[in-house]
Amino acid sequence: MEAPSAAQSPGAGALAPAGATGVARFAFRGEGGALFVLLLKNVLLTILTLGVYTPWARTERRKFLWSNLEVGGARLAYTGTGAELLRGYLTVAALYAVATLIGYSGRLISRSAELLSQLAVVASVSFLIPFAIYWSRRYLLSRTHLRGIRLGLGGSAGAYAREAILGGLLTVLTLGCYFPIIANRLHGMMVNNTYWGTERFKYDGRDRDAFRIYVPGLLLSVLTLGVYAFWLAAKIRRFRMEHTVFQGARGRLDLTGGTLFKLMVGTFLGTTLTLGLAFPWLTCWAARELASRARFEGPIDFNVVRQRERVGSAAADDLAGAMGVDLGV
Amino acid sequence: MSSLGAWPSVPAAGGFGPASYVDGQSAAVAVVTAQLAGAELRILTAGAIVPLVTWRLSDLTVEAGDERLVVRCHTAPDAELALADDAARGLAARLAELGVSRAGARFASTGGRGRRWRLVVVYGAAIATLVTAIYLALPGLARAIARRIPLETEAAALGDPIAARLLGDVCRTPESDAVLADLRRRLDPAGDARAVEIVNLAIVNAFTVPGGRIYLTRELIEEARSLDEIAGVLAHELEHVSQRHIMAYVVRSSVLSLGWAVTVGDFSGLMVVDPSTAFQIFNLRFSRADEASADAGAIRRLRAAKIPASGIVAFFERLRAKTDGGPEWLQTHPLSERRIRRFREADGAPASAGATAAAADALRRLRGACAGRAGKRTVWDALRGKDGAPGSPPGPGSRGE
Repeated sequence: MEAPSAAQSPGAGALAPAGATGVARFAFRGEGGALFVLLLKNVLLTILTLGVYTPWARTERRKFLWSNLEVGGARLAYTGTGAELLRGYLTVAALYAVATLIGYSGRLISRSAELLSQLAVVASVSFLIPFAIYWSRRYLLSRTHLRGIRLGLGGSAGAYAREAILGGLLTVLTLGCYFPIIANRLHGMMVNNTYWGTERFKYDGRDRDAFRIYVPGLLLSVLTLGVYAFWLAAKIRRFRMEHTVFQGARGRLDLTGGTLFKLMVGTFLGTTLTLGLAFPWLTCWAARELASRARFEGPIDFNVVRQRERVGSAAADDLAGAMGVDLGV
Repeated sequence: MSSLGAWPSVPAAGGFGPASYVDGQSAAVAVVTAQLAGAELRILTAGAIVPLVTWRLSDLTVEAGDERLVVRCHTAPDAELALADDAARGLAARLAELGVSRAGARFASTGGRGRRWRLVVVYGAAIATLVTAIYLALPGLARAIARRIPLETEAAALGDPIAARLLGDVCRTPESDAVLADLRRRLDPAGDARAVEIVNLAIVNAFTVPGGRIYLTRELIEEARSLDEIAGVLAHELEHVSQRHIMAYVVRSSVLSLGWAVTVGDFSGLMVVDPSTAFQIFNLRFSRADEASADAGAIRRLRAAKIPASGIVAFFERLRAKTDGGPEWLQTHPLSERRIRRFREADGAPASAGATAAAADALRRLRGACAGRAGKRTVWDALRGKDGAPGSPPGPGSRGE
């Protein structure tokens, strides 16, 4: 880690990630009680407005989660607005109406025409999914600030979609054997195109290494009726984090399968047994546990991280949400 | 623990700090002190006399979280000043005094956590009140809406697809049609129902589908010992049609589903008449109020048609004896003592011997409707179109339990 700049006082401590230790830790500071109040307010206003408040509710939820996540002592900020999401919702609603009309228009002609038109709609929606994933990530990152500098996703959604569709076809043709490779490549595309200001993240996880993790892991998961899936998921997350690099710092994640099992099962059981009331506390608990295990180790020169142009639209974000592929950072 | 590290929260002279400042142009963070001077907020690094930046109070937005304050300026949207703990409370209080921000004022007066439990009570009470109001108003609202939807629309949207699936199970002969037509003329002079048919299903039941079609199952016809029993059941179903209970139920369910979707943001549950929805409609449980209302209306119909209610009483009592032991809530039409008593108290004079003989003959003709059919399908198989395409007549020997 470089010596403190003139803009920083000596001993700035947690404000300067890495500092003398060269480590930028993640931490989640949110409290379940605060999230509970927020969710109650969201439910009340959503019911009162017959759903019109939904985009603002979603924005408030994101603001809470973002603003309580620390990276190297500095908190994220979410700058998206409910109005942006509302525009996105209306766009998606219009597309949905058009798709429904097309899907049922065949009924006016014949049964087979109805089936064909519905198939066409399903195929179109499936084709759009990778675009929606990419656009959604782009929107979320463009509305995320860390230390006042915007994150962003460059690259091309078309290139990502092309890779995803071809990779999907290859996965089917290889009876699933290609899946670890396409999953790794798509993740790599996302990370390699992710920016913090003018500085780009890098992903150096090799396809063959990912394949070596997935294949025995999937087999073991099947043999253990899914129990090993938690350990496989933890391994994949560790692999991805450890091959993510920002400037001179490399990611680290101390997440085990046991911890992931505890978090996921604990959250599920706790939410179910309390009819959802414990959800806010469990969410914050899980976020705290996961964040505390992540960090970047190595030097980061914050002075070269400068502001970049803004990209991304809310319509894409809601398109992804409507198709069930909502993403967070 | 605040994000500002272990520095003591000692404000500089006239200032609030330590605070962190980012200028939105680079990721470098400055440890600063915030000072209020007139209508301006000045941000200074330690020991500096000239401010790093000056913001007008009128350009500020303040976000207050738990023990944390973030101040931004419209003119530099990516820049940010963050304070925590005492420094945050101090600046928030001062900004509140100057009328700059309500968020800051709330934070200053009680701190982030202080308001929390009051808000839980207020929001929780408001939600409970809203939900209770919806729950109480919904039945009346659903009935009012249902009455305004033409029966033909109900049939086209919901009932006809179900009727199409049951088409292959309908039994009829000219004699059975004539008996049903006579019953309808006596019990339904206003023509509320669109059709009354017998279906070859393996369950003792009668049911109404949206749009005013009433189905009496073969097993019910075979179980009945007199035409009066069938008339009583039919009168009850006719009331469900005329009082639009099914449409009201659909409206209630749709409003509740929409409300749930609106609350959680999932709009994927659009209503289509697929087999599971059709099964739900078949299997729906009317509210006790709907059942009581249908019973009262059925009694009026039976009286007007001069048909004794003793028939349906005997039918219910026999069925209850057969199905006794199961919890009432598991039955599609609960045979509570209260319901049976209602009909028993309404019973008129017994029928004459001549009428009884004619009724026995009519019952025989009704039973003949399904006489040629080899087996009976379950309701679920019928609605799914199992053993044949939906709505298509069964091939020889192609159905059976």
